[in-house]
Amino acid sequence: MLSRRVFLKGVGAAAGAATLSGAWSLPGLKALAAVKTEIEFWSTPFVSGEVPPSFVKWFGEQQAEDLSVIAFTASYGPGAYNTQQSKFLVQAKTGIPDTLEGLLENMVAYIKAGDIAPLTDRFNAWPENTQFLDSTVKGLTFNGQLWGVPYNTNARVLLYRKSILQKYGLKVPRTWDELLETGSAVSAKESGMAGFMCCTNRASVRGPQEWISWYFQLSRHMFMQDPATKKWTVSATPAQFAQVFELYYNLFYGGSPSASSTTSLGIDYNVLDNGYGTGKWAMVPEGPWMYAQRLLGPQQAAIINDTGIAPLPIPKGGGHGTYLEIKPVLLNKFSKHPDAAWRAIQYLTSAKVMGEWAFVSGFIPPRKDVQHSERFRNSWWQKGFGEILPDGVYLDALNWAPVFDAIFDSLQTVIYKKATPTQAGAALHGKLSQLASGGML
Amino acid sequence: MRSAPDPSAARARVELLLDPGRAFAAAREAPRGEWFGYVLIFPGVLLIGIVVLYPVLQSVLLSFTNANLLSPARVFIGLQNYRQVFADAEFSTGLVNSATLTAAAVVLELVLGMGLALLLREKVPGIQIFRSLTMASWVIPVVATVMMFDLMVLPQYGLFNILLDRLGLKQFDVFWFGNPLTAMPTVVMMHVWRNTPFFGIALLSAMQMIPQELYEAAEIDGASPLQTFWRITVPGVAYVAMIMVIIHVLWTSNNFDFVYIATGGGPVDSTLVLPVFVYRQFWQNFQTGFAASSGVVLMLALMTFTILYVTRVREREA
Repeated sequence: MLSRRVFLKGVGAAAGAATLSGAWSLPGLKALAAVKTEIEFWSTPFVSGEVPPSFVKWFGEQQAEDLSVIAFTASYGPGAYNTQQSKFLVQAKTGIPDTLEGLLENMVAYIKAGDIAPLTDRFNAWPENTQFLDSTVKGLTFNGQLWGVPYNTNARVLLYRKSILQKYGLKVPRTWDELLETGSAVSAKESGMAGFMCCTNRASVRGPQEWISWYFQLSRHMFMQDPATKKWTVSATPAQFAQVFELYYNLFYGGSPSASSTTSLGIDYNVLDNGYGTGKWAMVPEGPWMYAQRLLGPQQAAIINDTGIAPLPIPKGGGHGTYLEIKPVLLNKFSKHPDAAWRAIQYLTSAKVMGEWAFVSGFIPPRKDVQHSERFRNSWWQKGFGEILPDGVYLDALNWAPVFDAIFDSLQTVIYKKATPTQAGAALHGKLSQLASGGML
Repeated sequence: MRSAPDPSAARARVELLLDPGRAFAAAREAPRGEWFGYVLIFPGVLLIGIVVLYPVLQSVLLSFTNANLLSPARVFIGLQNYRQVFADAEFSTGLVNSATLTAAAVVLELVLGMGLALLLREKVPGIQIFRSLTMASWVIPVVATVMMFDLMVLPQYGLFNILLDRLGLKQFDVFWFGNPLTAMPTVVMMHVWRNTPFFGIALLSAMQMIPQELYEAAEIDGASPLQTFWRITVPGVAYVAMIMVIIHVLWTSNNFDFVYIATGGGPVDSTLVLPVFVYRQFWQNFQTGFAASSGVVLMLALMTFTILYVTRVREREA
């Protein structure tokens, strides 16, 4: 048996030999010896499962290999955007996390709270800045400053089942009226399937995002800001709101049967996504994350392969418009290592990381070099969404949380028949005017 | 041989816990040896005092300001937030819904818990395993419970709706959390499903402390099972039941996660309860001061209930 003395002698001899032979200069051992600045990055999709765990593992391995002076911690923060926002607003001043990704709506709240640092100078000095799509950079610029680097962009589109529409000789709807007719026809003919479905759960942010996509077809702005006082006022009219509410009302109660089933009122985005993936609805207003459904099973994979991508139908007299989501990576103003955190942001939005992330998740990469790479050019999914991206409208830089809340309150009164679309339109206009005049935006 | 537990001693200890004034008086009068016990619990009591009192004090102070999470400026505005709270239609809806949810859930939990305790008291083979299994719903995380119910109440393919369809009640096949008529009852059902076993186990332990001689005497006197239940079992568990009711009224009234995850307070505010209302004001509207005033009103309402309820039960016992 090996004695302790013999063992220690062996270790000493091995260390001596390694020193003499220069083995300490091997990259792996050198990395162990170097002290890297630890950067905490909060990413909801990493935790919520929106990106496959295999990608999170890949990211962990790659960053350890690629980065010599910084290292990401293995902690990626809360797994829901509303929780992430609450926690960041409370603890940003501790300097943790150093960086985080989020929704555009979250970013506006962080700017107002003074918790994130402007990135204009750093971004302008970065040689790769020309690779980013102008529209996405513009969407993250408020009051003349850039506040985040875009890593993900997408637009709401109409996803539809090609085989179902083909089976009944139906065309892809291009107008709201056609959507109601086609949806109703599918509901009538295909057993156990609703023609169209959307998210109507009170707590789900997806609902107002869908609602505003229809609104953007009537007008590209809901508010306008006085350049001098910076105060917001409502630029939308009660009639415009009523028109969108009318669409929802008709989806659930127009036609016989209706395009959308009232039995599914109140569903959240999980049920909506999984319902489409399991063949419960023929058409849905969705984003590119649905591509991940193909990984859930053979049924879902077959349905995604049977899916067509089209712009959301538009109203009479309206134009194409849809909610443009731009997800930024942000820098905590109170980070104790701002330079290292900026390096982390550069890595997260590099062609390599963004490309892989976008490819597995299905979103549109906001970098030109990634978009032009072969695997994205050949992807029918990315191509379909990419064609609709120019219709996207990004949100104005205001506090959208109470606005979305008000939208959903009014929407519920319509879909549960507590108010007519006209009444709901007037009520919403009144509520938003109240928020604007009260300085809540 | 172990002596039977003395219910009156256990009860005296609980009463001391509920009444700090009496606890301090008892400590002063305690024999010398008992002082050491009070010294031992002092750090814990101090810690709880800081952890509980500091946030409460902060909330009360915030409630008199126009504090906003996105703005560092804060101004004292007196009772303005409270006036706004009582004029707010959503707050009234939340108050009514909270009271409805709490009353329905706690009454059902108490009744079903009593039934469960009587069942668990029976000496039948395998009862020990059954007693352990009954607590399963208590240990399942709230999020998992809501997800489970969410799946079971889905239209067409949720378990409950499949059963309704089989029973020929297809007209009731709806998403239960998405219908204003069924959303609140479904939330109540989740609470009852989770908390009834806790009531059952607590009441069972109280039943086991009732001296067996009382039942034997009742049997000799020819009391019916119903009379035995009302005259011996119910008074014997009344004190534990009171504690359980207070705890669950507080928990249910303050419960946020069940409702928020399941319905977010919808549809059309049919499940909007006060904690969700406070959450919306704080995290969606960022009105910290206003949210704090709503929270203080809720706290005062619950304190009033607790004091009145305990006083009433004591009066009845006296």
